[in-house]
Amino acid sequence: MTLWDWLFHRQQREEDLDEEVQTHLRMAAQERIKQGESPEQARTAALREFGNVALVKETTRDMWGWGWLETLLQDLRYGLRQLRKNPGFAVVAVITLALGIGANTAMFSVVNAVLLRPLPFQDPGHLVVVEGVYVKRFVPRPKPHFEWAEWAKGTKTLADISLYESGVVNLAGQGEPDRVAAAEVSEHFFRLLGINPVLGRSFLAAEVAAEHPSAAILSYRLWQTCYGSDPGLIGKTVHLNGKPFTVVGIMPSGFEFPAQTQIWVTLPRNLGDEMFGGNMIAGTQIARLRPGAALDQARAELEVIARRAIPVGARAGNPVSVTLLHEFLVGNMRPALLLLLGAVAFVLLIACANVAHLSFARGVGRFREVALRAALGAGRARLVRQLLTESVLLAITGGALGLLTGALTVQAAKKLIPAQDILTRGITIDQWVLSFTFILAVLTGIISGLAPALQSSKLDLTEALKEGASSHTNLILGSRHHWRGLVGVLETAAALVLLIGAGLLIRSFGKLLEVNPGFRTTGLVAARVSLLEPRYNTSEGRLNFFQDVLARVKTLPGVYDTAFANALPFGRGGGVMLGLDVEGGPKFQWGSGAGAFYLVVSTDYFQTMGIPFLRGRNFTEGDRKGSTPVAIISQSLARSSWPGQNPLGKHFSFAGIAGQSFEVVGVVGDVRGLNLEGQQMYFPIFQQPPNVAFLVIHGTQNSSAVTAALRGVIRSVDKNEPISSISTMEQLISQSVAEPRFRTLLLGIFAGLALLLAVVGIYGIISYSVSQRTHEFGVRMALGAERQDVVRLVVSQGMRLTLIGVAVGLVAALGLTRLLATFLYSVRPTDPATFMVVSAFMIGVALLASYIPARRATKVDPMVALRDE
Amino acid sequence: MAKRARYQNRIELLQGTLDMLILQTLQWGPQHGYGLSQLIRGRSGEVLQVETGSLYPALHRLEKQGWVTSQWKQTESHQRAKYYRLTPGGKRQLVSEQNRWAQIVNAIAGIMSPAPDEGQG
Repeated sequence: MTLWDWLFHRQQREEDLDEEVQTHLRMAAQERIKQGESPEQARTAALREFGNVALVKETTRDMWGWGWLETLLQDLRYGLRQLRKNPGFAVVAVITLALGIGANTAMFSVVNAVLLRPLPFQDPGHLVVVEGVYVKRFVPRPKPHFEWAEWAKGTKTLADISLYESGVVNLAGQGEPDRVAAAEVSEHFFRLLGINPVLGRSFLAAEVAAEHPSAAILSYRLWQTCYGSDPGLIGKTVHLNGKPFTVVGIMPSGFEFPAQTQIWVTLPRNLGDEMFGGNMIAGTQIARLRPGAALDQARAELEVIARRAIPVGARAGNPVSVTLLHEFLVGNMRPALLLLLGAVAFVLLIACANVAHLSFARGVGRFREVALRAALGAGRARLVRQLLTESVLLAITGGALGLLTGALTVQAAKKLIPAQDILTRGITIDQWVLSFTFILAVLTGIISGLAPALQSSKLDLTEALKEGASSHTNLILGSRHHWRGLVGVLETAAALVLLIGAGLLIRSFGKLLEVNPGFRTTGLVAARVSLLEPRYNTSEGRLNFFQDVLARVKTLPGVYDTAFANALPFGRGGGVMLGLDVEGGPKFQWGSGAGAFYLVVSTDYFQTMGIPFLRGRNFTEGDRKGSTPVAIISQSLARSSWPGQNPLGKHFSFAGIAGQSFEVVGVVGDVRGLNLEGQQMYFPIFQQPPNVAFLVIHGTQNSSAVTAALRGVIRSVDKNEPISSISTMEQLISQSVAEPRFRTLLLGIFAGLALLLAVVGIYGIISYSVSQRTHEFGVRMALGAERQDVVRLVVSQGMRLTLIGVAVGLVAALGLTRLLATFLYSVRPTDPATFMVVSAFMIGVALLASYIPARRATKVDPMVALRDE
Repeated sequence: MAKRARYQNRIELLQGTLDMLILQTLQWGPQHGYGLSQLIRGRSGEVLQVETGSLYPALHRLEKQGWVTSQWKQTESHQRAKYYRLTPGGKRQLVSEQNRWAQIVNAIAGIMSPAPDEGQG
């Protein structure tokens, strides 16, 4: 039968089949009457001989094809009717599942966008990032080419090797200049990614080779928002950091790589043309694997090139790595995302367990209905299919609701991600997420419905149909009791694992905040300035700016101290790690020798920041250009460089840059938030004035007053100089822990959800059990049992479940928290305190969840309970 | 549950054979379901009892495959009954089933009562 037939002639078919069977029965009966049986006898005998009429019909119907569709529709209709009859159950189950599925939908849409979806570039599977071959970008004038381009020419495994450096530029507009994300890119950057401008063109070879960069390409968004999508913009001039650039092209909508780049310019060849503040080392190097070349081959080849002919300034000995661009961008998001995805899977598991238990309880209530259907000829498989249809129906309704909550969550969460990059921008509910949610809903329906369906359909017919069979519990066969226990244990265990995970993260987060940073964290305000306009090309120009600003800020009311530094702890600064050759020590080797964080500060920096001065002297006005190069080093650098010796008066130089050595004149305390090891070196700002600097102020005033005054001061020194960011040290610290905080928050939410569901589950199991044992309690109390005896009886039942669950959960947590290790700060994944506190908490909550139904059990009136029977 | 399994086993066991028996029986003229079951039983000397749970699904399956067609007609006792009739395709199918059956019978016979062995010498 075709689908057409099935749709339109089904009724006809059905009647035909019925008549055919009736004819058969009539003929058989007539035959028997002829042989002398009474009509009554004949009919019964014919029926018996025929067998199960409904079943014969059903098997026959199966032959038509589409029978399954028929059954499905029937089951759906029936299921809907059942759910309507019992809306309380349906609502609780649907909400439970919606929570579980919603959390999973939201998490999966992130995983889908970040980890699974290919990058929107041409052949993204072959784009790689090269790290470890650090090359100097700016070379002495006579040399005409970038040195990195030279080594790049040598490779046989990589093509289109490109370099990009991203940062922020001042884009002149009306009023104060805008700070706009920008990138300096090398010649083949756009060709490498396979992206062409929608308007205008890419950079020409001549523009790339020009002595000073002068061409700019704009993003679609910038073109739209700032220039009203004016096609006449091509060929016009825009001012970046006060220098004129000609707009040559507009990139297609959505292309804002790297980071959120709005403006691309060519890579400068001279330090003076640098857009983001004097970084000597190359930015990120990306390339395309040539056809047939593997990552390992590329790595091996670069290793050889790096060892043989690394240009001056390269850090030899650092391992070369070649990573897929996607991997590089994903970075450490992968383990965090997979961890959270695992966590929501646990939440869903608990939701399933709850719904399964609800269905058990309901199955018991429905036993007579099921028995009746079985008696009327429904096979067990048929019954299970019917019950499963119901649970899948529930799950799909829950899934639809979950999809909605998931989508809303994703919308809300996207607003929380401040800097969206190429990966996080794509977080959305697409067809993959839709399919995922649908499949998840169906699976959830099957998982939560299978066990109850199998149980409910396994019953002893004759017992079940007996009038007045009320102790249903015995009818649906024995093992049901264990099932319920298992469900309780399972959800307790799953919730405990999540709670322990969240507990560890919270503890680790607390430790992170408690850490003594080595400087004062209150009363500090920091502002970033970028001295990139042409007049700051000379160090005198920059020095004058610094001195002017410092002098004026000091006179502001309520300001104790103020200083400039090239980088601040927990702030995004231009500091770098440099290798050192120390006096009397071995030649520097990466991985073994002394390296330290490079800082340039003005005289009052240590006083302003509250960094303790341990030995020697501070910088003075006398430490300026031309005088002896001096440095102040941190305690741990002093210890590692000259163990057991007096560091004062000792000398060191930067590895690879012979000739210039620095004399140590002072030792200060270590500072956190710059580099892990705490080895830092400070140089006087008068000897090496940076392009990008932070002004830091220690004052009494509240930060908003200082901020306003500060803006005024800076505008009075240079009205074109925008302050990109003013923040308090508290804010900087809080931003620096934003990622662990977000992670902790998310896992905390999931764990809370898990706890809630598990508690509802335990409560459900115990109250159900109490309702089933009403009669028993009545008898017990009639025989003299005290209230507390009954309470103890019920609570101990709950506790048994909980304790087994906690034991299982502890074992699972011991194995699973290892996955958290990378996210933990000075907390071991098996931290006994966390394990104990969380377990105690879980047990306490479960105690409460079983105490409430226990109290209800004591309210049983023995007379009523006994009469009930 | 158990009952259902038994039906299915029967169908599977008899599938090929039952189809052949039905086609063979219909060769002598159109017949309704009850008539078919009686005929098969009668001709097999009451040995083969065709379960209705196998017979009707088989009839509907054969009809779906186009080997039989059905028509509602009056019986001799003036009742309406659904008569099944062999189609030309069904006839061809019957021939091929008969051949296959003959092969199987020969093969089984060969195993059960082996002819004097000539190969061994």
